[in-house]
Amino acid sequence: MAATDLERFSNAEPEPRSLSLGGHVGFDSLPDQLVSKSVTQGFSFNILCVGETGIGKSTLMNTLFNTTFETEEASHHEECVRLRPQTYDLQESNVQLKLTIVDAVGFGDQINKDESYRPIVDYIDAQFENYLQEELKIRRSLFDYHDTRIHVCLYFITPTGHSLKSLDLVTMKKLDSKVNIIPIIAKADTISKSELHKFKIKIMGELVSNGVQIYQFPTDDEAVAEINAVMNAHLPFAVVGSTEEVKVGNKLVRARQYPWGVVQVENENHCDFVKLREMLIRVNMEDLREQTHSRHYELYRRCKLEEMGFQDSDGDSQPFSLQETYEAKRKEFLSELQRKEEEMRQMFVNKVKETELELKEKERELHEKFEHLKRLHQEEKRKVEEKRRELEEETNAFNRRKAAASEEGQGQEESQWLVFHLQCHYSLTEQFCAALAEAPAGDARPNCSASRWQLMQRPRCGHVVWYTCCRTPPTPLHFNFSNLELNFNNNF
Amino acid sequence: MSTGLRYKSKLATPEDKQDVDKQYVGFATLPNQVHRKSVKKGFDFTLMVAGESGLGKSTLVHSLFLTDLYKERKLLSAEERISQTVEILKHTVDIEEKGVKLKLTIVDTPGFGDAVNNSECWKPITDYVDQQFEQYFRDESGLNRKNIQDNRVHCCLYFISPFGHGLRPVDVGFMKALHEKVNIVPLIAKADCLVPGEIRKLKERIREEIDKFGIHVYQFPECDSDEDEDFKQQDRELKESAPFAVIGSNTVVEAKGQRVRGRLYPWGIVEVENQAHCDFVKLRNMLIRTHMHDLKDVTCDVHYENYRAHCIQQMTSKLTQDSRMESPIPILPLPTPDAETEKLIRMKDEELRRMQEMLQKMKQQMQDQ
Repeated sequence: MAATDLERFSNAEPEPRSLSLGGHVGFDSLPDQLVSKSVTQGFSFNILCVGETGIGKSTLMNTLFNTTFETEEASHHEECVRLRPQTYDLQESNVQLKLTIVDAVGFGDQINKDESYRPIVDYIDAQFENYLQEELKIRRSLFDYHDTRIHVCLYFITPTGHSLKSLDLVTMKKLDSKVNIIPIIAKADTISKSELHKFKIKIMGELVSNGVQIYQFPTDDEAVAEINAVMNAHLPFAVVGSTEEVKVGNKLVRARQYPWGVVQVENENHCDFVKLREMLIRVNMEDLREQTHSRHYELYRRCKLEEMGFQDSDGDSQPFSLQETYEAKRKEFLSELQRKEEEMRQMFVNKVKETELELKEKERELHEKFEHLKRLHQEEKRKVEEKRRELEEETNAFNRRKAAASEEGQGQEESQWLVFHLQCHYSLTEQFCAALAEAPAGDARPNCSASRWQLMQRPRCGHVVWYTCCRTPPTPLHFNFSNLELNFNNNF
Repeated sequence: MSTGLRYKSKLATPEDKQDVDKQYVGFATLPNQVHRKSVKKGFDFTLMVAGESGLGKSTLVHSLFLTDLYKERKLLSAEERISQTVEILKHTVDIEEKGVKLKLTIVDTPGFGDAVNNSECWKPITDYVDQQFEQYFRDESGLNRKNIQDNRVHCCLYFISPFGHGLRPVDVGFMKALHEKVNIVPLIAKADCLVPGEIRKLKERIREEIDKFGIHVYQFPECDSDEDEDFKQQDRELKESAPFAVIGSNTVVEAKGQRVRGRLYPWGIVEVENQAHCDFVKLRNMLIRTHMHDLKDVTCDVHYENYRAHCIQQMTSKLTQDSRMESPIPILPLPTPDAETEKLIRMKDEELRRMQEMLQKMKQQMQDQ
């Protein structure tokens, strides 16, 4: 017993033995249980339509699902490509389908189409990212999650009859690793049968030679292998879409009425619409969803996680723990944040210092200027003061000399000529002059105690009035006339 | 052919002579003489076709002139077209019909609109048209004017894709770059993908957008008021069906026991020359049978004269600035008012500059203080 136990633990997993059953157990109903569960859950399917404006994307969707999805006509003058997703709830018998149609609006209209593919790739990645985030959550509800990942991309090729356009090639190369691409030749009622055959060969040749991987219908399931193989040879499908009904024979069919004939949408001779519908909806819808999840999504997830630093466990190293790696990343991130904060703070501090220095400089300069000006001012003032003093000294000296002289020569009848002149701001009127002349000296009594004021000459208007006095009159000199009072400042 | 008859009736016939014998001068035979001389001289016509690849340009040219001009044509694959530049290819053929010789030149523009980045993809085409104008200008102003080759582009057929809702930015860009240099005739290509209702809507849309963007396409001249009612009706129909929705075909198929040019589909046969199917007949009549000479006239009188005036103005303004440059062509001196006003303008400019300098100096001084 111990030996077999050891064996069991040392070997990895022994091959399971297949046994035959004695009777009917009943687990063959497992698929049915699965189906009924899925039916109650409902299905979701997301289609991305990429093609030039006006090529017939909306019409084809209407024709495929036999309903009218209300979409407004796009203009040719969009600035850039943008994606417009619209979700509809459809029901057929008891199966509910949540259908999302994503339209690439403005594709192929711009003059410079270098960046046309980018919004599309970004949108697809964003849907994958959302799913990844949901998957990585701690509390997740994947069964309830509305899956918005694009399951199929219908690429509408313009029916030029020659080959693919350069834009088509570039875009399909960017999309082939992210989504299942089914190329379609749109508006196929403009190509005749022989031209169509050559066109299809040319397109497939170009796709193969440029390594573009379009979606191949799966041929491993026996039930559908044959039909899928046949359909693979008919790629790309040349379709015609129409929602109008025309009477052909005695039925109303969906068709386009031309002056030269009627193109029936569901006639296999006229176009490949029936094939497309079979392949896309009736046979391979589930396979498309599976491929999206198992191939494209897994690729995206692997790339994303590798970017984040996760790695699968090698033989030798420890099995990786999401937790640990996450912690490590988080620490790194936080330290990075801190470093950046420090940097910014440092920069801020530096800037503040700089501005402070500048301000100080300016202050200093201002002070200097102020000092300088003050000094100048003081200089000036001093000079003025000096001059004034000089002048005063001179006048004093002069007066002293005069006084001294007059004291010396008291006997002299001549009085010192004290010359001052009155300059009145008012012009002396005749009257005033007369009054002044006739007023006896006593009348014109200055407030000077010394007395004899003698009018030297008859004052005339505008003239300077000369008075003599023997002493220095005080300032201001005050003359009292009987009628008038005039104040004169002593202007030497 | 009513159009042929119309022209014939303008030629004077000898029976008119009987009218008034004595007062008959005889210059009513002038149209005859013109006819004879022009037949002897022969005609030439340059047609440019432009549009994205795959819109049926070469097929249409084949159907129009019933000759295969593109014997060895190499079509590029999508990969090679990613960064393709626009080339200009000229094919010249001499064709003759009832003694009238026509030297037809078709200017092809392969690569237009094919690259992923089509910014300014019409530049080689505008350069080509200008080049032809310039060459004619020099020839016309030269000393020996005996044999001037007229390579100017008389008409440009622009193919609009029928798979869209109207004009695309590249269409608008092209037409705006060329509408003052060439007569543009817009066409809706591969019209066999549109039912009659859709054709009507698309034509209206295109006409609206041409007005909206201010594009001057070739306008059919008004017919004289003394034409017969029939002709006026035709003319009106012609004007109403612009832009023409055309289908071209290289192959002849059997339809109702007749061999016609057309395209064979599982659901029917499109006849190129059936007026109910497409406007090919209208285009052919307009381009070849009625308006070819008018197209040439408009090119000579309007587009070429505009170019010439523009060119001369540029040259004289350069000459007045730099008097040492010799004029390569004989030009008359400008009338004086223009020269004077230019001098005044220049003086005022100088003054302004001086005042600005002074202002600057004052500002500097204030700042220093």
